[in-house]
Amino acid sequence: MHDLGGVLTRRAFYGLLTLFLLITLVFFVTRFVGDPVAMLAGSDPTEEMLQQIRERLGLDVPVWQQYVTFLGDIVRGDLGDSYSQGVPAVELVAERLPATLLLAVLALLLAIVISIPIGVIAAIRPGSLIDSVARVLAVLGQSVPVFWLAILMIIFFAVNLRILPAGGTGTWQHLVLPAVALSISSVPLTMRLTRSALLEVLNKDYIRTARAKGLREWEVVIKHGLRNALIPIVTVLTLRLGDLIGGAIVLEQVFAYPGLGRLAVQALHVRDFPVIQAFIIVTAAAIILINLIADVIYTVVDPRVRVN
Amino acid sequence: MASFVALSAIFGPIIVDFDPNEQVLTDRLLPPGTEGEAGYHLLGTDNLGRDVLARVLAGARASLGVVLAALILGAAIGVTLGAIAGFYSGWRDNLIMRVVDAQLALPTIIAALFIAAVLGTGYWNTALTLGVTSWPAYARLMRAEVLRIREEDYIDASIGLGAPDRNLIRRHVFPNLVSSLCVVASLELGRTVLTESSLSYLGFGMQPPDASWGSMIRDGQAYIFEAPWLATVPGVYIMLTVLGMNLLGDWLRDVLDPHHE
Repeated sequence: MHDLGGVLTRRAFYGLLTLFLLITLVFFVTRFVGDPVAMLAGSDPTEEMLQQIRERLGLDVPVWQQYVTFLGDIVRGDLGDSYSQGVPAVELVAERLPATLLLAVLALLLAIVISIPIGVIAAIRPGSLIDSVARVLAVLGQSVPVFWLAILMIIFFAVNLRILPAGGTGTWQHLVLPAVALSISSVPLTMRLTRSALLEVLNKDYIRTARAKGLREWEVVIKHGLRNALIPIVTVLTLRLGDLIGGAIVLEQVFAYPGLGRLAVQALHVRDFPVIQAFIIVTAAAIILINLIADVIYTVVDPRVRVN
Repeated sequence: MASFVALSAIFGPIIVDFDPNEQVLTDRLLPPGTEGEAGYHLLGTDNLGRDVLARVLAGARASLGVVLAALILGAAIGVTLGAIAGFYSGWRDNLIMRVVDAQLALPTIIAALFIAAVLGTGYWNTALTLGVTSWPAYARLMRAEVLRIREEDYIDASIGLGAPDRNLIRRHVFPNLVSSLCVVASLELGRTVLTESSLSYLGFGMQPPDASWGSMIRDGQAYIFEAPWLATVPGVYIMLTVLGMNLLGDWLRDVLDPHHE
């Protein structure tokens, strides 16, 4: 019996280490390159004003001291106040996070519902018409800029057909176009992966045994095939959630959807660094946490993973 | 397809005799295929009366130029650090690979936005941003390959003959890597074109009057009711470019790597 607790502790430690390194990178890159003081002071600042702002932001002490203070603040969950809005940056991010997560999770579910059945059909009948069409669509889907596809969808469904709103928020109709557009970025990969994972499993001996037992074909494919092919699929899907959040950031601009992305892009335009830092740290922490949970789930579910 | 886009980017100014930045206000928002005051507009004109075809081709030059510069930069950083990590192991390997992990914990577009906000926008800053965001892919590939090649007998033989590390990497390790590097680079190229277009769509890429595909789509979005071609045409170009690069990458992999199915 392998030491499950040990494996998970090590993974959690690596996750924290990764987050710590990222925070360090973000801190030094912003301090090294950006100059928030000049920006806050406006035009023609006096030396006195500059000094006041530096003191208020804690920028008047040596960098290593700022770094230690910064780490201490993060541990307490304090990432500073927004330069432009004057409220805690963490609050701003926390307020917007659910909207973006909702969009990403909806897109993930849609991607699963669309891509797994197509992948299964393509694996059962490799070389068939459906397989070929799916392959072409997958190649196209990986080459298309999603924000542009979203605009095409707005032109078609909102401008021409007038059946869905072009942007904004409030009702479930507002979520349809953004979620569908976002899911399209994940469908090609998931579909190809389902196909190849299932094809591999279907060549195994136990599938032949299942067929020899006289099971119906769908039972062989779903119960014995798909179940065993699910692990690589689930792994890649959880890893996709990070890219989905990234995609949501861009799509929120297209649809004027009030999530993290709009907050971040506004903050980036005015170089509101506390908000930018909070955005990056919270997003990265969420992604690392999701990966960790995925690790835990399949370590527990699949005994084969533990051996490696 | 990729070569078609590249050729049209290079020879664009010869084929199309419109200046991409010239504004003819009487020819505003002409649909594709209309004869305007300044001549025939195959793909129409935008809200300032500029020829869309000329702008898309200028955008091809700008986008491909930035992406190529980013590719060279990203590959140079990634290959160097990946080779160091793979060759020396130990703390250098640990440090470099943990930084790779940390950067990969952020989605590419978020990392790119952050770096662009710190560095500023414009042609060269965009190239720098895209280069810095793409190096981890090369570093991982390089490290894995160096680790594999290091086990080969001819490396042991060279070490036995007293060859210095630098020569080992340059003469024996690097030539064995060129083919897999080409595959990763062409796939990475397509991805970088997509990231560049997202960046400039969000306003953090190249700045006006430089035509970039992403910013053309953003500007065109304001006119989707009266002039839908403005947002549509540049996207078709992006798609063809990325598609061409992805197909090139797949083809290179099939040709260069007989083990891959």
